[in-house]
Amino acid sequence: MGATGAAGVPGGGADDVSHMLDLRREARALAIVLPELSLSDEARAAAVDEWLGRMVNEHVSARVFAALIPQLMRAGVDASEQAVVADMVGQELRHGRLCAAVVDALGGDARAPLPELVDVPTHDDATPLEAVLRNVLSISCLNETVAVALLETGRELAGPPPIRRILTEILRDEVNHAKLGWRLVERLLPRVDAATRARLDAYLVPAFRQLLERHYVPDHLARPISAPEVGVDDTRASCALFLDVVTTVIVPGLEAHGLDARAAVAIASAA
Amino acid sequence: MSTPEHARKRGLRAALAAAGGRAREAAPPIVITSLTLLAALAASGCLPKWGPPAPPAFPEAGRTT
Repeated sequence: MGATGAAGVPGGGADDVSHMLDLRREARALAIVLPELSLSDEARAAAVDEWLGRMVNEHVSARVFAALIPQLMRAGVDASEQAVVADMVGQELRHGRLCAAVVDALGGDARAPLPELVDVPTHDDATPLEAVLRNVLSISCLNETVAVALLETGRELAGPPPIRRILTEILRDEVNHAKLGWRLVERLLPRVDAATRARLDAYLVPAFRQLLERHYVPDHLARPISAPEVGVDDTRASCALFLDVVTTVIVPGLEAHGLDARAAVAIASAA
Repeated sequence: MSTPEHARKRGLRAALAAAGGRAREAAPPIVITSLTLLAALAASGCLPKWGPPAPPAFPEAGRTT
C-alpha cells in the first residue's frame, strides 16, 4: 500500500486541498531522466506507488526532527547538535522532493494525500533529558538505523544511475540521522540516574512495538511483486533484513549502553 | 548491481557502522506472538519505511507539541 492507501484524509469539500501534498512542480524542477526501462505495467505502477509513499513519508518526517529542536534546547544539549537537527529538517523535505522526482520520471503524478500527522510527544511526565532521550532512541537508534540498512540494500540493487544517485544522497543523510541518536545516547545516558534508566528501558517496549508494527511483514501480507532495480523492495527480504538489524545491531548496541533492549523486544513482540 | 545477498550484507554493515561500528553478540531471534501486534500488522501492510514516525507516547498519550 502506498501513500494514497495510507492516508487518513478527512472527506469532502475544499478542505481536501490543504490535506494534499503536491510536489509536481518541485519534481519537474529536478528533471530526473531515467533510461528506457523494461518494466511491466504492474512493476511500474508498484514503483510509482512506492516512491509516492516515500515522498509523503520523507516530507512529513521533517516535522519529527523539527519537534526535536525545542526538546534539545530544554535538555541543554549542545547548540551544535541543535543546528545539526535543524539541517535534518531540510534534508527530509529534500528527500521528499527527490522521491517526487522519481515518481515524475516513472510517469506518475507527484501528488498524494497527507496522512494523519501524529504529534511528536513532549513527554511532560519526564525531565527534559529523559524526554529527549526517549524520542531520540525511537527516531534515530531504532527507525533511522533500520532505514540505513534498507537504503544501502536498495542502493546496491538499484539499476538506473539517477535512482542510485538519489538513494546515495538520501542514504548519506539517513546515516547521519542514525548516528545522531547513537552519539546522543553515548553522551547523555551517563548523566541519568538508575530510575531514569529503568524508565527508558520501559519506554523501549512501545518504541520497539511501533518499530515491529512498521517493518514486520508476515508472509501472507508480502507484496506479490518486487522490482529492486527501480526501488520496489522484496518485502520478505526487507523484513528479514529488518529483523537482523534489530537483533544484531540495535539490541546489542543499546545493551552496550546499559539499556535492557532484549527484554523490551521480548515484551513488545509478545504482549 | 549487486546480488540480493551481497546487498543485504552491505545494508547490515551500513547499519552497524551507523550504530558505532562494533559487532556484538546478537540477541535471540524475534518471534511475534502478540495477537494485537499481528492484527496491527495486518492493518499496516507494506508501507514505505524510511522517514521516522512520531515516537510513541509513554506511558499514555500526554501533551504534545
